[in-house]
Amino acid sequence: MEKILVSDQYAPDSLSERAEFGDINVPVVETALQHVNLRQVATRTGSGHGVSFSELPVTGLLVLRARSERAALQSALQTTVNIKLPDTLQSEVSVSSGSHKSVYCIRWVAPDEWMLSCPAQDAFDIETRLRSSLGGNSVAIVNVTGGYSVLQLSGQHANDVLKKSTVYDVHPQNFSVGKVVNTTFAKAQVMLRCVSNDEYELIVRRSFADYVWHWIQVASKEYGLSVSRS
Amino acid sequence: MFNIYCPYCEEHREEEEFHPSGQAHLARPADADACTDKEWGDFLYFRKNPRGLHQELWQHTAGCRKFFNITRDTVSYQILETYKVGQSPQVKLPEVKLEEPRHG
Ligand SMILES: [Zn+2]
Repeated sequence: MEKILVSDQYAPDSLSERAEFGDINVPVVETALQHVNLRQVATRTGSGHGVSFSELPVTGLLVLRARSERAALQSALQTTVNIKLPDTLQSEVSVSSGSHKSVYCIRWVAPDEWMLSCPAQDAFDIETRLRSSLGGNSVAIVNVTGGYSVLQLSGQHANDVLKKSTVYDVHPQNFSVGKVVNTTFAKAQVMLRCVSNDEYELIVRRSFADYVWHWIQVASKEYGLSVSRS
Repeated sequence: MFNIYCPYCEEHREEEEFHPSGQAHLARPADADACTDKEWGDFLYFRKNPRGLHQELWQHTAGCRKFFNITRDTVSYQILETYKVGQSPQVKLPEVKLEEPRHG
């Protein structure tokens, strides 16, 4: 399969701006907030504020579903991306060895459902390798890369912004590092993960990315918001 | 705040994440072609509306999206138990004698 061009929304000369209009030979994948021009916003907002926001580059996302054949999925994941199925409401992270360090993260969604993230360019390859490793086992793999936007909130007041945005109890005592929950974020739904202390990952539906971005701007106003690239 | 315990997520979650789906344990007539119109009509349309304990189907829509059952008091809103689909309730419902509707 031909390589996909993934646009870098923070680059001064992003791919989508360069691609010839109507050139169907250059498929460019953009993030949901590409049009916001976060690079420009980042220079305007500076840094060192209470809350820091960034949209991750296009991230490969695979939904994995298995019921009775969970063990087969477990071993396929182990051989393909060296990651184990997480416990209830938990996530697992693994970093590939070698010169090109790829980060994989798998999140618990439901007792028979998980969300695996990987570099966008590797999604198709990982899906193919998982399928061949699974053989005839009844496991569903769906590439949902285009359906979501991955956002990151960090800083000493990131937790305060979450407190007014979600009904979930995000106190560190209840929402510790590695925990992942599906819950509400304002009027949208979010897959919320605690990456590290004062650092959170939000996976939202692509069509809600603008709404969430506007909400975060208002909700973090009292703490000061800076835009960065993660 | 009104918290509901999700038996799949294994923790209490805010009511906003859930959605009710009506009466639980509806048994579809085993042989739909052979049952009477009354049996089929009861299965399709007629639901209990008790004042007191009620077994209901709920979905954790904003969470794990799984369906599960709740035994709930419709007067006090107290939830006595939540249990997975396929499991049996521990709380026994009081036997209610239904009056036949009076016509005319
Ligand atoms: Zn749940």
